[in-house]
Order: sequence, then C-alpha cells, then structure tokens
Amino acid sequence: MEKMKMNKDLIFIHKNFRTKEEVIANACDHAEKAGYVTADFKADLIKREQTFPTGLGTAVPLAIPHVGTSCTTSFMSLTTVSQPVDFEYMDGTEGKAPIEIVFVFGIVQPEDQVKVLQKLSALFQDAECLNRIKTAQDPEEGFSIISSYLGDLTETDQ
Amino acid sequence: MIKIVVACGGGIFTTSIVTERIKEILSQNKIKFNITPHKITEIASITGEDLIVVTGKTSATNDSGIPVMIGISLFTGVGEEEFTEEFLAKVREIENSK
Repeated sequence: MEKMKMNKDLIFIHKNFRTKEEVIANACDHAEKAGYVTADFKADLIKREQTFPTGLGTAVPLAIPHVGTSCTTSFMSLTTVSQPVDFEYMDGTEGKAPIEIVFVFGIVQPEDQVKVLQKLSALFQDAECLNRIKTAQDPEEGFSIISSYLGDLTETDQ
Repeated sequence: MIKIVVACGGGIFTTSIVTERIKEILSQNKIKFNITPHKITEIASITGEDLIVVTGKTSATNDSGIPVMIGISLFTGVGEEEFTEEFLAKVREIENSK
C-alpha cells in the first residue's frame, strides 16, 4: 500500500505569501520538482479551490487544497504564513477565511490513504497541536510535529 | 438496504472520511447500506439512490428529487451529533417508506 510522502522541503514556515494562489503555487512547484505531480496539478488545484473552497474554521483556521488528478505519488505539504491569507470556507460560510495553516496535498488512491486522512482530520480538531504548528520556527520543527502525529502512515524521501 | 451517495468537491478526502463515518453510524445502528462516491458536480443527474450526503456547500439539488443533506460536520466534528440524529431519522424514514 502506498504511503503518503512528507519531506522537510515540502514544509514552508512563516512565509510572506499574500494570496491563496501564491501559497498553492509554491507548494505545487516544489511537489512537481520532487516528481510527485505533473505540470497540470497546479492549475487543477487552483481551479478546484475556486469552485470548491477548502477553508475550515478550526481553532487555528486552516485550508486543505487537494485534488486527485495529475498526481503520481501521494504527498503532503505544510505551509504556515506570517500573516493570514484569505481563502473561502468549505461549508459556504460567508466572507473570507483568514487562513494561517495550509495543507496542500495530492492523493493517488483514496482507499490507500483513508487512515492518514482520518488522522489528519483528528489533527484539525486538536487545538493544541494546531497552535504548535502555527508557532513552529522552522521546517524541522513543523516536520517533527506532523510526523509524530501521523506516525508511520507517512514516509519520507530524505 | 439504504443506498447512499457521498459527494464532495474533489471526490477524495472528505468523501473518504465521511464515507467511513457513515459506515460506522449505520453499522452501529444495524442498518444495511451501500455507499457510492461521487463529485458534487454530478449530484443533479444521480438516479437510483435513496440519499445524497455532500461535504461542501452546494445549492445543487437532484433532478429526481433524491434528498440532499450537508454532512460537513462528520468531517469537522462540529455539529456532528445533531447531524447524526437528523441523518438516522432520514434513513429510517426512507427505509420505512419502501
């Protein structure tokens, strides 16, 4: 069964991105360089986010842009931003969602990833963990928080 | 047996989570089920199913009159109990009318 990839170079901490497109494009470019997605992934993802937004009003607002197309290896990335970036809410709540944590990820086979996705959803409800991610100082710290939460459901290329 | 469609924007993440939750809820309540994933864009044209649970905000309705429920709370946990009650009530209502 394919495990989801998570590497330190897909972790971006306290970035100065202004728009959700910037956040998404950055993660996609790195995923493409790592060979996990094709060139179409970025456009697919930005389009999907526009029609079906993924902002969540969790304890620390987060977004989960993801698609299952143009992805050859399931992976997860993490971005934290130095000031909140506007996304829209997944449940249609009016107004902009001031997002502070973004998980861009791609999935090849949903059936293979159910467990890691369930753990990820549990993480979204863990305010303490979300705050630790938000205040992480560098990719190593971000990586270790997430990988200790997800355990051996992910693997790293590094 | 209740035939349910779970639909989300991408057809992967939230669909998987919500599908697992619905399976748990129905199994706990000893209700036989069949669950099929779809994308939200396909909702209007679905036929032959009993109930559609969507995980994203949508005003889409089904052309055949199949009821649509918004199940985001099964994914976020917020309002999950209320949704579960409503969901079970709807499922039982549908099964009883068969």
